[in-house]
Amino acid sequence: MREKMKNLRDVTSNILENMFFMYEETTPDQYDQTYKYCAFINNPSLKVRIIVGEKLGSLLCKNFLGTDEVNENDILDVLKEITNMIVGNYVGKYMKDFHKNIPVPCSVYLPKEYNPDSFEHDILFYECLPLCLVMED
Amino acid sequence: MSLSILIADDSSSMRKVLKKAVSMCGIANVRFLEANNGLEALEIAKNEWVDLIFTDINMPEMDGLTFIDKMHQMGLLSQTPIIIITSETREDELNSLRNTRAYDVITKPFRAEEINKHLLNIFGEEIFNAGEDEEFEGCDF
Repeated sequence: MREKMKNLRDVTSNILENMFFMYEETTPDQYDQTYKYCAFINNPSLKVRIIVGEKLGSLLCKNFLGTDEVNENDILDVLKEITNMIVGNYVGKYMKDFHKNIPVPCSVYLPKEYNPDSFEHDILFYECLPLCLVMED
Repeated sequence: MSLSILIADDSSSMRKVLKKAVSMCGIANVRFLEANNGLEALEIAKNEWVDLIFTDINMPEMDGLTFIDKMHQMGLLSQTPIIIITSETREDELNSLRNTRAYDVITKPFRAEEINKHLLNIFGEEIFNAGEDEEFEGCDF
C-alpha cells in the first residue's frame, strides 16, 4: 500500500505541476487541517479520494479556469476533473491489468469535523495548504 | 476565416478550458457551441454548421463513442472532424480510441500547443491571425 500511495502521490504531483503550475512544497510547521471538498472514485479494485480545504479548492479552480471568479460548483467540477486525470494517469502507468472502465468521479462536501487519519492517506502541500490523497484497497 | 467549434463534455470546467486553449491559438473569429453530452452534441451538429468537434468519452445520455458512431451513420463525419479528449492513458484503450472514426485523440493533461497543432493540421495557416511574437507556449491544460 505504501508503494501505491507513493505512486499516486507522484502522479498527483506531476498533474498539478504540468496542468496547474502548482509545485509541491515541504510540510509547513502549521497548517489548516479543515477540509471541505472531496472528489472520489469508488471501484472494487480502485478507491481514491482527493480532499482539499476551501482555500486550496478555490486556488486550484482559479488556476485551472484562468479566472478569479469561481463558485463552489466550479470548485467541485474542477476537483472531479483533477481526480479524473490523476486516476486515468495512475491506471495507465501502474495498473496495466485493470481492464474495466474507469468510473466517473463524484464529489461531495465534507463535514467540518472530517478527519482522514483513519484511512491510509498522504498529504501534499501547495502554498502551505494541504491536499489529502486517500487510497483504499 | 471564422470557425464554429462544438465542445461536448459534461464538465463545464473542461469546456471552459478547451475554449480558452482554442482562443489562445489566435484565431480571429470562433463561435463556440457547447453540449453536456453526446445527445445534445448530435442535435447541435444536425442543425448547425460545425467545423470541428471536441468530445469527451464518458458523458451521460450518450457517450462520446456512440456520438461518433451516430455522426458517421448520419453522414456528418465526412465534413466535421472529431477530436477525442480523454484522461485515459492505457495504451490498449488509447489504440481503441484511435481506431474509431475520430480524427485524433488528445490525452489529459494536454498543452495548448497540441490544440494549436491540430487546428493547423486541419484548417491550415490562414485561420491564424497571431503574429510571430504571440506567446502561448508553455501553457498547459
